[in-house]
Amino acid sequence: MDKEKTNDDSVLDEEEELREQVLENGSVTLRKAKHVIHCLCIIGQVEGHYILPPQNKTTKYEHVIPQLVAIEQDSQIEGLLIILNTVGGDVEAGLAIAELISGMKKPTVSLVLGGGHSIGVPLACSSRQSFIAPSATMTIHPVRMNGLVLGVPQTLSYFDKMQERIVRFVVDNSGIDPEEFRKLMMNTGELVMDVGTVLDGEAAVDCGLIDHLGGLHEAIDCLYSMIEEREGDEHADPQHRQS
Amino acid sequence: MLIHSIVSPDLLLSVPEGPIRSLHPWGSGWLEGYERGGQFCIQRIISTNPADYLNPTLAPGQMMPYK
Repeated sequence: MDKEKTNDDSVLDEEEELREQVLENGSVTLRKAKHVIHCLCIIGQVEGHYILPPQNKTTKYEHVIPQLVAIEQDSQIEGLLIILNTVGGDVEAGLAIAELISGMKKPTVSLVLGGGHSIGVPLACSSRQSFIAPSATMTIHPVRMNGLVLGVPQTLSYFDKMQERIVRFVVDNSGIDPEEFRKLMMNTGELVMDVGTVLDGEAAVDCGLIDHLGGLHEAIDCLYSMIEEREGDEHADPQHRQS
Repeated sequence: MLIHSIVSPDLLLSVPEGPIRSLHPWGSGWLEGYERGGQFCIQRIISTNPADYLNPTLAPGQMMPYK
């Protein structure tokens, strides 16, 4: 009886933990499947050093960064699935999260659904394998700044440097050519109110920005095969596990 | 702040007027909403149970008494 009560308690605790995880971080660790994977959702605006007004749905870097460290450290979690439906946001926060994901040893797969715009582009490219749904889009365009802007040449040079950080990261972590990416970013013939390009799923794969066209099951299958490949490597070389 | 978003900075940083939202625990999740006429007006559901999203009493805009 006592044992039964303890089991019930642990199920309740697990449910409570799941609930907290979804509410606080928009993420969930799935433990009842073939492999234990952590699903991280990057949605709405990517929020950085400044809190955005409450009408914005945001993904906060102070929530995501410790999660990524915990996922990398947790011996039970075997892989990370990142689901993106974001309109972009803070450059520093987006790049910080993207750099953390690209620096992870565990298998990582990203899936763009709906939209992976602006700073969502480096986030989508940061995983080892990336997927995009055929109906999803990605907008590539120049960065912006709020607050006081001085009309001096140095401002343009600063913008150029900030943009180059994004270009460099995307080029290093995807199959797109730097010139092609800059061309898409500075395209003046497509957007009515802005400079840039909107890519649909197929176009994002064709230009090398995203690895595969697909949905959830393709992304999960890919993550599982990466996990199994990693397990195989660890069995073949036990030293590999400790490194 | 450097912004790289498809949402215009004016829209992104504007502060809307409106009721203050709060969260209330419900089943396997939460309900987000605000107070209207002494009742809780549901704005959205945050839940891990798909059945919650099919429950018509939890549809956005539904009113429920505070417990």
